[in-house]
Amino acid sequence: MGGTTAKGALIRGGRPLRRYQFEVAREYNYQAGSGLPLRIPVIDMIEIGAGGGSLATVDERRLLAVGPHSAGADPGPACYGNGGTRPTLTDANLVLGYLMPDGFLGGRMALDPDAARLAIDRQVSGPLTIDQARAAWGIHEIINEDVARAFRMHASEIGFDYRRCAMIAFGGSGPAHAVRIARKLRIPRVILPVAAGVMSAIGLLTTPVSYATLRSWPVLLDALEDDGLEQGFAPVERQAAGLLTGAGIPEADITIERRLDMRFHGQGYEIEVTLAGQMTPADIPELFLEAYAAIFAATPLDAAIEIVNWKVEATAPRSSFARSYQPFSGATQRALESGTIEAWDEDAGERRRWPVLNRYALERGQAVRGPALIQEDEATTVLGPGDGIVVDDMGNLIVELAREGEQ
Amino acid sequence: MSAYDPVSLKILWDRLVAIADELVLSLVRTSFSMIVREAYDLSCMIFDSRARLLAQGSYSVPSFTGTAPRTIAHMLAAFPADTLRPGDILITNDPWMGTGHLFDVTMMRPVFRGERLVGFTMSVTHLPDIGGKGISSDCTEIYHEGLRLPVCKLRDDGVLNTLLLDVVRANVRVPDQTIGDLMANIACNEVGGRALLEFMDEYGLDEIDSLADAVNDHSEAAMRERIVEIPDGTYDNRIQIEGPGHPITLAASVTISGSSAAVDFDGTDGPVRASINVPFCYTVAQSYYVMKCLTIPHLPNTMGSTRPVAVTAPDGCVLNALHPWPTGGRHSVGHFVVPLLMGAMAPAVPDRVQADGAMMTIFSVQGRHRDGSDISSLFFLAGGLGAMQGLDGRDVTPGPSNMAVVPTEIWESRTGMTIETREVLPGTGGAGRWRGGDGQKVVFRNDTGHLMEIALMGQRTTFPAKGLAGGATGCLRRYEVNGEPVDPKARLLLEPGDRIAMFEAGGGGYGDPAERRPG
Repeated sequence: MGGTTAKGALIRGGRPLRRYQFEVAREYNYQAGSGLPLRIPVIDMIEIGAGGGSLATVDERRLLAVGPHSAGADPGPACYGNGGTRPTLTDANLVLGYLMPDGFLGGRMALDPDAARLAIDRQVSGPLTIDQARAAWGIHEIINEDVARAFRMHASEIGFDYRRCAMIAFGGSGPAHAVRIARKLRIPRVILPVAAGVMSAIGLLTTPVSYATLRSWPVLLDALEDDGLEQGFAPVERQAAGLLTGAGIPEADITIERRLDMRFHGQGYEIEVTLAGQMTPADIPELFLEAYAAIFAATPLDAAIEIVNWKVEATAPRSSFARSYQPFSGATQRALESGTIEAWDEDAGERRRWPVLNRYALERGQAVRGPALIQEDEATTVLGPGDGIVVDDMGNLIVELAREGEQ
Repeated sequence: MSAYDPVSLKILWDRLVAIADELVLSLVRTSFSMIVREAYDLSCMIFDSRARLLAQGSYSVPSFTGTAPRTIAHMLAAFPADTLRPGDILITNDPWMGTGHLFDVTMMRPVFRGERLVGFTMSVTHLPDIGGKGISSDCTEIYHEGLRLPVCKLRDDGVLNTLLLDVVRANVRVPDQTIGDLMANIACNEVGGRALLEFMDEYGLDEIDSLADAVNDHSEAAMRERIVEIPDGTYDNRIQIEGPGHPITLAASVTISGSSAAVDFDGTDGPVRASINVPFCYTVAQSYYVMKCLTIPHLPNTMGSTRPVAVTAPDGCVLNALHPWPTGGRHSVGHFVVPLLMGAMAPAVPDRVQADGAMMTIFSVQGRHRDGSDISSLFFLAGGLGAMQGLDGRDVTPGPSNMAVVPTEIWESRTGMTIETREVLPGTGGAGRWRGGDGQKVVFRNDTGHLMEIALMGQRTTFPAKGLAGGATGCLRRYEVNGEPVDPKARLLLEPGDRIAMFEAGGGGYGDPAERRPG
């Protein structure tokens, strides 16, 4: 989550899920269907208009609304002091005590809490006749809900149970919201990597070279011969692997993955199944029916099963940059606790004094228990009461969420 | 006023809409017909235990918000709530209980939390076929139009009613698609029920009735607040539309009194011997839709926003047609409630009304593929939307129903027709300070090798979309077969190789064209 949007993807077995349609340039409130569809393989991502600059307003229902419109960088949030008068998520986080007024951008930019409070009073808590802390918490929490809802919808669309997963959070606003969003989704663990602000760039440099392609060959499963899978996949695999060998990657180093888009004959949408090892056509019906039942509940259908798309992904080994990248060289010699702040504790329903910790002073293996704010130059992590962190060898903060009753 | 403050109500309410969206998503992804998965002729809803509408999927036909609460009331009259069991699914396609014609099937599933009934989910889809002559203009009795299912159980305590499915299967042209779509309706209601229970678990809710009250009270208050801003008075309008060989007059008056609105259709002509008569449920739904557009369009659809609006129509008029008048093409008259009421309200809220639109059209296709298998489907075609103050009418956009466009490639592969041309017709929208949307030209060729039957239901072929406040009228709609004009409401036979060209109408403009700003 950054300044204007939040994006999310699901990763299964260490690899992000793909999709083959992508909508860009959405014209109406980031809503699906209002943009231009592109038929390209992309990481399967949700995107919603939720970020630090998201504007809080009172909607037509006389309820609090946040986003999708953003104050952008200019004038930006009211607390930036650049002439913005409309309250944003960043203003709410400042009022809640989830941001240090003097710690923004590594202390190079001062924030104005009075301007933030004034904006929230004028535009939100005044018109709704609720108190300022409730309004600020509402802005913070609505964004958490919006992100959680987008994840839920997305996961249900593809039948993904995220409740035993970990959430990796980054971007300037990510660490301030991730723990609370994870709690809503019943995700037990959050991973906060080093350099939250430039994670996407690091990702581009470390991702292995790969080529994904597909061939449409609609065929009824019953009509497939014993070696039908080989017949279907062989030309697609040759094409995908050929591009990598052409780029100088030895054939022996290339990994191939096979996937099929399948449906009941007569339907218009497919579900994707991934093939394991040396499967034969006889293994496919079970694979499909299991995936179908998991997504759409158990609906007995007596229709023939059809393969529509034959997908192959050829992947090279990890790049040399990925193998040598060292994000963390150990703690600096600065004091761990840099101060305290009056922060809103929702469970207690009041402000409490929370310690503010310096992320750069945390050692490998060091453990901290919330509540606390953990500050770094580009982001602030909000750790609720009972949530614990441990620093791993790569410098990631591994947050174990407090279980019910421990908060 | 309610147990929920503006923060928590917002969160819970939006989540309910998201659950309704999940129903839509499951429905579309399991459907077997183009009508559902490409054209989105569907709606999904959530009700509380007292059958009060709480939320509708964002991608749903707007008029069904108005019909669904009536449908569920009819269903519960036939099968009282205290007799329902987990695993039951109720179904009907009765035009007067459902959405106005036989082609829409409504399915409802009770949601139980343990032993307790906590709510209902519902889905409505337009079936690819229901027997009879298909959706058209030329039936003269409801019996010509297909199979009519009274409210009955498609699933009883978890046991599927296979007899009912066999009856449907024996009566329709494309049984695999039709039965497949019935199953898709079951699947989406299962998914919706599961999601509703997860939602209740997550927020520790034992019931959703108090949430329904909060949502509906809030919606009602928001709607009333906007109605109050409209000057009190009675606003009339009278328009002519095209009937079977003669015009039909539609008349309406809207009386605004404080925070309430009363819509009455007295003065409207009687029913006609053509399948374009409108059951009252559909007229009511269109009326709610207009009043919401004129007041608080972004409000999520609920029952509360309909409470301040009373709708009446004389028994037996074309907008309150009774059994056994045929109703298959009821949209082609019923959609005119929108321009009729917009026209009435123009003097009161000139900044919110829309000039006449071209009205979307539907034509149905029955025939045979090259391999001999049956074809039965619909195509939705759009002209231009009417302009509004500050906004040009969109070109080639359906209204007042928000059908999606079936992609050419899908249509061709599923019907054996080739689409030779699909192009915008520039200049067909009416001029204005804000101009009406342009229509389009689409040419289909029958490449099935068999005779193909096409039923047309085209309006705006003699009465064009009028402009508002000095805006000009849009161009008329017309059809040609092999270059020769044909009756826009006819049932036609296309020989192999025949071409039918459809010229969709333009929308009306708004304001004096001389005041239009360049660019």
